[in-house]
Amino acid sequence: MLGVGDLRVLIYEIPDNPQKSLAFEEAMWRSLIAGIVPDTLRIWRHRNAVILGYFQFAEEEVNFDRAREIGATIVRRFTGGGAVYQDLGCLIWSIAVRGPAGGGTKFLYTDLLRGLIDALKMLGVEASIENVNDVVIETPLGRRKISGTAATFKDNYYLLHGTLLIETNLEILGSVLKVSKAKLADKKISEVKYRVANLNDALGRRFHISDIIDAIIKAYSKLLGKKPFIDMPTKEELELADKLYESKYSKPEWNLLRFPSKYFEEDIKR
Amino acid sequence: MRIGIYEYKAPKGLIRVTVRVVDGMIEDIRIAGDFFIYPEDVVFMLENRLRGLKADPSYVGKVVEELFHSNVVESIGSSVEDFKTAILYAIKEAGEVC
Repeated sequence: MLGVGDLRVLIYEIPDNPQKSLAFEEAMWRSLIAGIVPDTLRIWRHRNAVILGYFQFAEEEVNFDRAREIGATIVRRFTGGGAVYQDLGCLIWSIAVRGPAGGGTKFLYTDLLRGLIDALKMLGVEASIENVNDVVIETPLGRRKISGTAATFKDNYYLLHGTLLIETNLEILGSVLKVSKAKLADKKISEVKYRVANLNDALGRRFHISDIIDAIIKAYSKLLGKKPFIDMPTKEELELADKLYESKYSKPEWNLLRFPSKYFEEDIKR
Repeated sequence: MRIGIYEYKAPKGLIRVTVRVVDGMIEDIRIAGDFFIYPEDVVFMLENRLRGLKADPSYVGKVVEELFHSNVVESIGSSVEDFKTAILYAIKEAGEVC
């Protein structure tokens, strides 16, 4: 579908340092744009983290008392969208590829997101895309969101990353994130958006994380028409990730205060 | 000095605007939320252009529209009108509209 070459698969996580982990995500994205790494599928997790969308303020989205109580790390990502809570029961997947010129958000949320739907189908789960970028399934209790995604693009480079709830602690998820009054008032949205479920609970069967990872790899290599190969991050990516961590992802100005990305650029280049 | 906060629920995404109005001027403004807009820098450009501006709906509306039209802005589930509405209501909340 997107041309020749292979799909690099990185099963690369830093579960106990979400700030480093997000710094690596940006390093991977920058390396793709710089043309020094091939199209990449990354699979990762965090042990205990709240990840904010680029445009959110921490104090508006996070119950700090609860976050402190459970020892969650708060980190901002470089893509828009809403805050999420992640523990090891939540699988994170990222797909970063060269795509068509002018593909924009349609390519991201229709074409690329298809890969996750296909992966779930391989596992026997009928899921669909709703509300542009939410992935929902039918459960005995009704429609539930099992995955939220966020994305960005630059020229013909695209990155889509998202969560997949397998067995996350939903009590913690619900208590550490704040939900705005305006959102709750909008019933149409809130019903879908804030009723999340774990795959394991919703479908009454236990999924093995390795089966899910296999399915995601298979689905994306099929979607992109590329042969997957398991790889490690490059030395350049890791060095860039270190710089991004030192200058940006370890800083409250980024994680809590929403300073623009540009603010950190000079320091990163140094 | 007056502070206005307005939460506006666009078809997809919440736009939360906080504005500080001093003597009829926008001293500071922040446009936050869980929306998606591309390129992402547009949000910060918009805030920068609004700072120091007279807190007047016609001025503000014009600045928002100009910025959206002079850039290749792509958003999903929220429009230039949604951003305009959120900002104007926040200014109104601050209660110092000329």
